[in-house]
Amino acid sequence: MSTITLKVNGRAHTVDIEPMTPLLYILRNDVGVQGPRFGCGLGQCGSCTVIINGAAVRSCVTPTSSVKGEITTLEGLSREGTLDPVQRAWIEEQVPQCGFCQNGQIMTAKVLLARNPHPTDAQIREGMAGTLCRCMTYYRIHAAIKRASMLIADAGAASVKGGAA
Amino acid sequence: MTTFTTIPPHIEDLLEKQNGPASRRDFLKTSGMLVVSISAAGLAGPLSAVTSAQAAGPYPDPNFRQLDSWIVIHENNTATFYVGKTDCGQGTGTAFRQMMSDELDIAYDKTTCIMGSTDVTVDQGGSGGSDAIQTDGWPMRRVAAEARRVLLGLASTRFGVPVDQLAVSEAVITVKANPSMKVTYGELIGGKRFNVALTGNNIDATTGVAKVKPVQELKIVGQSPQRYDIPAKVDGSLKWAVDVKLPGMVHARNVKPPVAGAKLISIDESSVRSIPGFVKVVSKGNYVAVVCEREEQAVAAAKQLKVNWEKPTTPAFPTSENLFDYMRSAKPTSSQAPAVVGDPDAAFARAAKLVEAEYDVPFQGHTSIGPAHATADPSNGQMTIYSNDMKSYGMRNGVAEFLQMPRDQVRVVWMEGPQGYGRTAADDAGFEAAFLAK
Repeated sequence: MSTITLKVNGRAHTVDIEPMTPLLYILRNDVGVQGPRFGCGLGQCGSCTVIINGAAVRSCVTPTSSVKGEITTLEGLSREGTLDPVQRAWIEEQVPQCGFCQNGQIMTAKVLLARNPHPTDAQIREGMAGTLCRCMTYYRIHAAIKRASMLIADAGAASVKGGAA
Repeated sequence: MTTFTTIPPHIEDLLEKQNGPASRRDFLKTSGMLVVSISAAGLAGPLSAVTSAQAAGPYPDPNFRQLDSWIVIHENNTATFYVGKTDCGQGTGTAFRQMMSDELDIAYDKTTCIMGSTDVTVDQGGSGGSDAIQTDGWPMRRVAAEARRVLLGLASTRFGVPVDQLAVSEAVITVKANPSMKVTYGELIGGKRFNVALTGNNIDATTGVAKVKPVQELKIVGQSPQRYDIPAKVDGSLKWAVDVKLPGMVHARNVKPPVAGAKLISIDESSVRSIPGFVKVVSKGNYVAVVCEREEQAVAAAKQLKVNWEKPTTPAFPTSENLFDYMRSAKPTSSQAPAVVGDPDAAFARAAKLVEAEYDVPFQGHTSIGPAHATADPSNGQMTIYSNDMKSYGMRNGVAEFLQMPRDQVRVVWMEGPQGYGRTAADDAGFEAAFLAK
């Protein structure tokens, strides 16, 4: 066992754990966040995705001791009760069916859009290809990413306008 | 708040929200007993027997022939619908609210819907067969229509005006001739019981006296409101079945045989005793599980446990290569004659060209994106199982039988989960959790 300090969604959490434990268990059982979920446990489905240093990371196969940098989970996307544009798009497009995988879909889409704010259809398909949904909501995910892209662009335009006024 | 068992506050909130000082169970129990005392008025003897049987366990079946089992009107003029279905992600909860709101004449956003918790919602069998709306929606509509009828009756008495001279819209009843005379559903019955008996030989046939509205009068059905469960699934605030945490909770993992039909010969417990947090190995028949204090410890122990299995002499299932031969030669457990309309043989005989083909369709697993899971709480000699099972009632009855416990000491609290497309129909995980907990 060893003491590790993790920064999650802006807050520091010190945990006394077996350092090789996959990050997912520590986040869910010690830190107390529930956005990331156990899907396959093999890093193949994406349900456990968190964002670390701007990258989508599969927490079920990430040893906790290897984590350097702040962790953002689904809960950490919204700021002071305001949803992230990706989350807003997800609601407006009514994306989830059961919703269990959607943490991974949203977090992966968030990283995709941060790197490429105006992805083409092909880029969306490629960027989301490894994030699985058993309910087959892929078409709505695709539509929501397009919508989020527009929401982000609108917000950018509004803030530029606001800044000039 | 009830205090007889330790259940997470968010579940307690969910189940008992808006029910005032009395809990949902107390509400139903008292309501049911009142009915017993009425129906047994002429039978002094059986009454005490019936009431004491009801008092035996804390989780008796809600009586589907009581309006209070389905609908509660609150003092703030909102309503909660209690239905015996679960929503596997198709938005049926939203649809139930639409249908019941329409019949009750209340705005959709003034209602909530609680589903599939065996001690507080009637047994509609849970979900399966994609028939929630077409079959189970009917009793929901009829009981909501009945509640509206009863409320109109109460308003009629209050104003001394016949029902046909009253108008109702969005949970407010007005005297047509004098719209300043009005009363809300909440003012009429908020927080109190209807105490109205329903009829019907079975739950699907449940009905009151009122008739449902003709389709043309439906205002909420036919709209496409946003699903109420989606925001919490998107912002990360939803508590799923897999998120249940109880004080003193331990984690278990199953250890499955390498092939189907294998027989357990021996378990070497010393192979896992050194794992930190190891609690015990549990085994019965061919079932093996390891229990540890923490989740990752149980995962490690399940991998590490040395178990000696004897493979069956004849494999229980065919190999993948022989699957379709196996399926074609298998003796059907039941078969149905196809429905024939017209004369297919004659039609084929007349055909200009006959095309024949055989198709092999692979097995589609009823697998969900997450593993099967459940949490069982054996506190106070009762059993509460938190599960995403589609059929919480089947699980509850099965677990009671399996553990030889009275049904009314077992309940299943339904919560959202990775949906199973059939896999979670009286799912093993709930049985296993309850077995291990006991």
